[in-house]
Amino acid sequence: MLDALKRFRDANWPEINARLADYARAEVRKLRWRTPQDSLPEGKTAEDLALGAIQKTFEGLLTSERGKGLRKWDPSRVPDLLYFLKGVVDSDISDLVNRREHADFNYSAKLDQEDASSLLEQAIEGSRGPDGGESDTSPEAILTIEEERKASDDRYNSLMGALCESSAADDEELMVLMGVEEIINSGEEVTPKAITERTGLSYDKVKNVRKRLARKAHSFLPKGGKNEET
Amino acid sequence: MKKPNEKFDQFLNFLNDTSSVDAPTLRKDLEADGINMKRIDDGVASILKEVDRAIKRTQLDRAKEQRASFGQTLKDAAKTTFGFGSRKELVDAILSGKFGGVAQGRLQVQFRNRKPDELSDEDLKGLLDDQEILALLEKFRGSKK
Repeated sequence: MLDALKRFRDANWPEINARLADYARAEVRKLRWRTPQDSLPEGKTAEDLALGAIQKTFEGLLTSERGKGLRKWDPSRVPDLLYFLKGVVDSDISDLVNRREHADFNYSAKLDQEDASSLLEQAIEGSRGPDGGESDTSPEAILTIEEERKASDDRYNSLMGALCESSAADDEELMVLMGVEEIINSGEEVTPKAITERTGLSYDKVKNVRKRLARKAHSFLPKGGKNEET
Repeated sequence: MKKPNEKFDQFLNFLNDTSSVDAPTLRKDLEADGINMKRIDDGVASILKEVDRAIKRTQLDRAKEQRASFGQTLKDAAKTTFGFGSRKELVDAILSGKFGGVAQGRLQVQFRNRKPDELSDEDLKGLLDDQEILALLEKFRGSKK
């Protein structure tokens, strides 16, 4: 415990604060894309998520107990504190979504929760192979996954379409969007470098265009009450 | 964090990727987006004060435990195994040559013209640390076998 506390104290907090808040903001945005009726329940913001994750991780260091709600960081197994904190943010978001009142059972949120729990579990338990757990292969589960995949594709097509439309007069933005589409369809990872190779645009140019596209994408986000600013 | 397994996630991850942005620039961007970074900084500063207190508390508890358990071990070893009733007797035994070697030389240099019974327990503690004395006792026990 003492070692973990010291590692926690000596972490690069200015860096972690910014990166964790950024991560929480991105996750809140993703959630808003998935469940457009609002964003996080209980009026939570990205700041709440970041601070909450840090507080819970600290509290987890003070106890030797294990239980629901406790986040036990073991630096010998997960040396990257930021990675661990991101897992706590994921888990807290799914907890919040699950507690949502008048929960019209939402497949997307359910899948998110499974993702988050699994990631946090992996962070806590150390690396585990993708086949480490049992998978539900019932027809209902497969149908649910298919439905979610289709919903995700619809969201992708809708966002890509809206961006292409708003970038119609900007050749560079269109080139980057086409590059993204090609890369995603080929199953590769979308990175500025991969887009540079496909479009011939410079690396810096691709990053600048990405920034513009991200701003546009966020402006398309469904409006969502208190968390709108996040 | 999440493994992108869908087109939409991949696209958003690409758009939201800030890994190449340095932390100060990222902060400005977050603040411009309405995120109250000062609230996070202040909250973390307050948590870190608690962390500091917890570290001190843990160190203190650990030292107390070690002292208590070690003191008992030393006392038991000195008394039951070697028949020394106190640290003074133990030091006296070292000086009389029972242990010999480095320990004796070291104690003699430090005692100079003083005898063990002129020294308090506190003085004696400063001469050899408990670990060293215990090691000597173990060595002494070994030589007696």
